[in-house]
Amino acid sequence: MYQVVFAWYVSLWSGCRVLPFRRGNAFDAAVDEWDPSEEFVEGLRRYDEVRREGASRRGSLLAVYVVLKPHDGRKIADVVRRVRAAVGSDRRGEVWFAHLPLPPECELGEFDV
Amino acid sequence: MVELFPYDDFAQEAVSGRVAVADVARKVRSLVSDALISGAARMARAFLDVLPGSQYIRRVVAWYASRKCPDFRVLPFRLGDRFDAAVDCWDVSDDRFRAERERSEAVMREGSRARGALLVLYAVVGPHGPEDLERAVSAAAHALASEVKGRGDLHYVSLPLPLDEELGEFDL
Repeated sequence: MYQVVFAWYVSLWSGCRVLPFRRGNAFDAAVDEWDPSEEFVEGLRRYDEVRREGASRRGSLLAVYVVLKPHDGRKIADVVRRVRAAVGSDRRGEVWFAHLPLPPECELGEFDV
Repeated sequence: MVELFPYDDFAQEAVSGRVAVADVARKVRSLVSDALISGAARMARAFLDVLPGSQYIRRVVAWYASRKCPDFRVLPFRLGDRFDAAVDCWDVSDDRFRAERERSEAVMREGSRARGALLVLYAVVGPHGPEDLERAVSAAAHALASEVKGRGDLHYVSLPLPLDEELGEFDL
């Protein structure tokens, strides 16, 4: 679910259209260029509408980003359970997560081009 | 001012036979590559724009995007008070590319234990007003307080849901 919502937003912001699809058990995406025509303009108009009325009518995809202390892998399940209880998510209480171990700061260089 | 490639001149030269076939092939490959990079850069910017306003989070995500994407390297940088991204192509036959992929695997193995992790949690919340959202985020921050590294920042983005039928799944 969260991937397709992300794809929907990225499609309208990037000038490229993201076409999410399932490949076996995994999720994948194809990309093509928008035809800069009525369809694209209509998409942007629709985006404004969704921003105005989507949350109050249908809800939201909420993405929470947090940097965790050093931990062993078992901590994640506990953290996800706590957030699920705290947020009270819809759709049968599903909470998805992505877990990205931190590289050293010196590898996160800021590039000036 | 961007200098555009003189397509017409090149096409006329190619047709006239004054340009070798190998030169034409090389030029076409270069044009395709430019187009791919241009599209990938827009995608990277759009994707990074979706992330919350923490440059640290964007840099971590860009780090992973660079090492996981098979063809493109994402280079995040600050542009005035905004965040932006440049993209170039990896040469996948280059030793540096292989080293970066191996580095990604090493960080996945030892990064959490040594330094911590960026955890991204996605939840679909029911219809709500702005106050409900703030309450939910505040509750999540409270629940995680003891696990958070550094200043305890918790960032979030909220994406109002479009209609289900607009989120079609495409089978290619």
